[in-house]
Amino acid sequence: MAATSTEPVTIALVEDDDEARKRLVASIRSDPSLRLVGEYRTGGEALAGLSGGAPDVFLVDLGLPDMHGLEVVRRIAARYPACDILVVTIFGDEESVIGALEAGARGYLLKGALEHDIAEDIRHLRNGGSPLSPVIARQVLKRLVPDTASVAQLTRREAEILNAIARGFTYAETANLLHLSVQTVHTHLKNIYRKLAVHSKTEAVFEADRRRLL
Amino acid sequence: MNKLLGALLWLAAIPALAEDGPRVKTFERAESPASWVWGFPDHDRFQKWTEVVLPHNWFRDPPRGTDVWYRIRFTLDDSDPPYRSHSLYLPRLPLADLTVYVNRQPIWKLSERYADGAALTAIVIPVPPGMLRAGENVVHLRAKGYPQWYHGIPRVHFGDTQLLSGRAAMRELIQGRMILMSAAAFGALGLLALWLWARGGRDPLLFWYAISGISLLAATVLWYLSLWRDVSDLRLALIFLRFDGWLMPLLILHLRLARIRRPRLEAVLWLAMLAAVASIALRGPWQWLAWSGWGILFAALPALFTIPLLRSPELRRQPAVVLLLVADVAAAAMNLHDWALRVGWIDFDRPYLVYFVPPFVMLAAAVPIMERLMAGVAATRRMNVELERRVAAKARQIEANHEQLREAQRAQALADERRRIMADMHDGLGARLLSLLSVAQSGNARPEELSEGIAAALDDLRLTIDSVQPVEGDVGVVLGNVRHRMRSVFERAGIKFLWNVSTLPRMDDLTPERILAIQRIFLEVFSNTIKHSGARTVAVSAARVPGAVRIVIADDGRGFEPAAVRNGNGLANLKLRAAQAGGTLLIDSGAGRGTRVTLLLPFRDEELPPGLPGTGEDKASYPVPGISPEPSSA
Repeated sequence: MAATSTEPVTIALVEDDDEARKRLVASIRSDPSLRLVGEYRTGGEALAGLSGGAPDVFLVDLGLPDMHGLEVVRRIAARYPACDILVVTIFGDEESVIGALEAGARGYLLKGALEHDIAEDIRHLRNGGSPLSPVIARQVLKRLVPDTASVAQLTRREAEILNAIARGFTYAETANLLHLSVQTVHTHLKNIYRKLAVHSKTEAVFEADRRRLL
Repeated sequence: MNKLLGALLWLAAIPALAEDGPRVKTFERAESPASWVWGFPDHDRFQKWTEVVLPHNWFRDPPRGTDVWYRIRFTLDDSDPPYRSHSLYLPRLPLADLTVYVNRQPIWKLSERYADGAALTAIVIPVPPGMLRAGENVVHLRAKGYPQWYHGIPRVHFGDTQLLSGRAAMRELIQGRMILMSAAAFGALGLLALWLWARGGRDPLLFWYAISGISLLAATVLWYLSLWRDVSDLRLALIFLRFDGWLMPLLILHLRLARIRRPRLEAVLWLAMLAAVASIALRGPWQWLAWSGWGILFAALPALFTIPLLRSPELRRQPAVVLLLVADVAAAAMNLHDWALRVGWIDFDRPYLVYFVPPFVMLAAAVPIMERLMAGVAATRRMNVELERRVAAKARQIEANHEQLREAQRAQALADERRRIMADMHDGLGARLLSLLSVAQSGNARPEELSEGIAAALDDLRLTIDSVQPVEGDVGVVLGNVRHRMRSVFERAGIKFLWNVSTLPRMDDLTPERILAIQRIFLEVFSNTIKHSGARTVAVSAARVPGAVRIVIADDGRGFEPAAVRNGNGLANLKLRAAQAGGTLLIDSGAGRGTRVTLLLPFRDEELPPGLPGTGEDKASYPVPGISPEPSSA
């Protein structure tokens, strides 16, 4: 997004496992384009530490001792809409990733992948979208049925993009396939993430309404 | 009910209220021969006449013989108003026959006009012009009848025809049309009861109600139209049914309302009823007994009928019962009136009320009968509701059982899946970690070797987890996910993908087990490509072909001679995995021409046509996509 080569991207992270945190911190510090501004062990610490302002990127481990990582994501996303939140997961499984995206995260990092990839992933994220696995794309497609009346649904173009990603095409291939620029694909993906978060809120409201009516 | 009774009594009183005007003479006295007469009495100069009072009630004051003469003498003078025409008017004719003479000339004979039943008919007899004279005129009446049948002579009126016709019409309304109308109403109720009886229930009470109503209507209509000129026995039976047929069902209705259920008693009563009708129709020796027996029943109506109902205070509060009781009492009052009329205690000229009794009581009886019917209908409806409720409860129970069954099936599937994953972990991840452990424990492990081994173990774990991710039956997602997982490996090896996976139809039976097998095939093929082929480009295509999804992985590497492979374990392993994936695998390679692996995954419900690649037959008929320059459109 607004990241330029001259100004490093500020990063904060919350991770309860000391080893993992150390490795993340080391990986971030090794990259000059990234600047660590806060590291926290618990969700409470993170929320308190970020009360004054948010970094450009916030890394959240989902398994925190005091609260669920999704709760931290939800609160930070609500308070700082401009902050790019990435959840850190070992497996990138559908349940935790979709949950994170619906809570307001912009993507996820695979824990245990080679560490130099983290900076790469963060750059991807700042450019408009972290790698989206085909499984996740398929699930997003399933949730946001295209071309229904709701504002939170997908446009036909967004559905085409998700469909291509679900079949294993990279962003570049997808752009080529649909005669778009890669940047346009990224923009569409950002919109898709936003819609997923809106959709989950709409669903929640709908569900609450339904229960009250019942 | 009391209002109705009052109205009836008022109507009955109308003739008595009619005052004589100046244009009408009412004769309340007449003369009758003192002894039995042969021929026209005035021809016998020795005949002595004695005075009788009109109306002359033969029950109270029996005449001699059944052929009785009456003489009325009156004078007309110039002071009498000028009449357009003169008539004689008799409000009732309770006689078998009557002949009227004016100044010794016969002018009218009852049996020529009415066969019978004239008792209720008000008669206006016009006097032909020229027969009357100024001074004394004389009217002779020759009456036939039976004292025991309540015959007699009413008052005789003489005067203006128009005025007397008006009175006759009023009288006719009460003792003719109103009886007919009430009989028609009861007849309609009878038809309704018959319909209800036929529709369901088959309640004898309802049937007899129908018979009573219909026979009353039939008898009344026949009587009114005077269709029968002779008194046949069949007609007598009909008359009996009309007057008394309703008594039996009514009695049973009263018993039932009083909750007295005596099937035997009821059967005896029905039989008695049938016997009475039969004995009258057949003019048997018991005819008189039937008539008088029912007459007694008729008279005992209030006592017989009301006492059972009056015994229970709870019953007395029911509106239908109250209505019936009132009707019983009213019927008794009407019977008492008619009885008093016959024996001469009240004016003989008043109309009989007995004809109103059956319709009146049966209309009242219709209410509890209908109520019973409605109660039956309501009970049926309640039963239906209850039945529906039970069916719904049963359906819920069955649904719950189904849910339990589904739950058990889910649990079973989960257990199977757990078993499969455990077995997989045991053979794959577990074995890998054990060998890593022994390498680490040996003390001379290189760090790269260890980290590579651990990374491989992690990949294996991810593979297992990926196999249970939701892919919505989409093979394309499975392929894409393998590529996604391995992207950094391919990037490091400098291999380029030509990716051509089309949108594939859903495969409903794509189980985690099959997914895992497909993933392993791809990992195996890709790692062979990276390690051995020296390929720069790998083309992956997946498309629907008749009956199956066909996946082709082709590289531009150096290829190999399948026959010359020393250690065939890898290939055999691939074939085994293909079988686990529910498909077939074909490897096509040769030195210097790359490798092409084709995996064919058939759809569950579709027959695989012969000659498909992968079945080992005619390959040429299904061109395998080679390395295409660009992925084609989605």
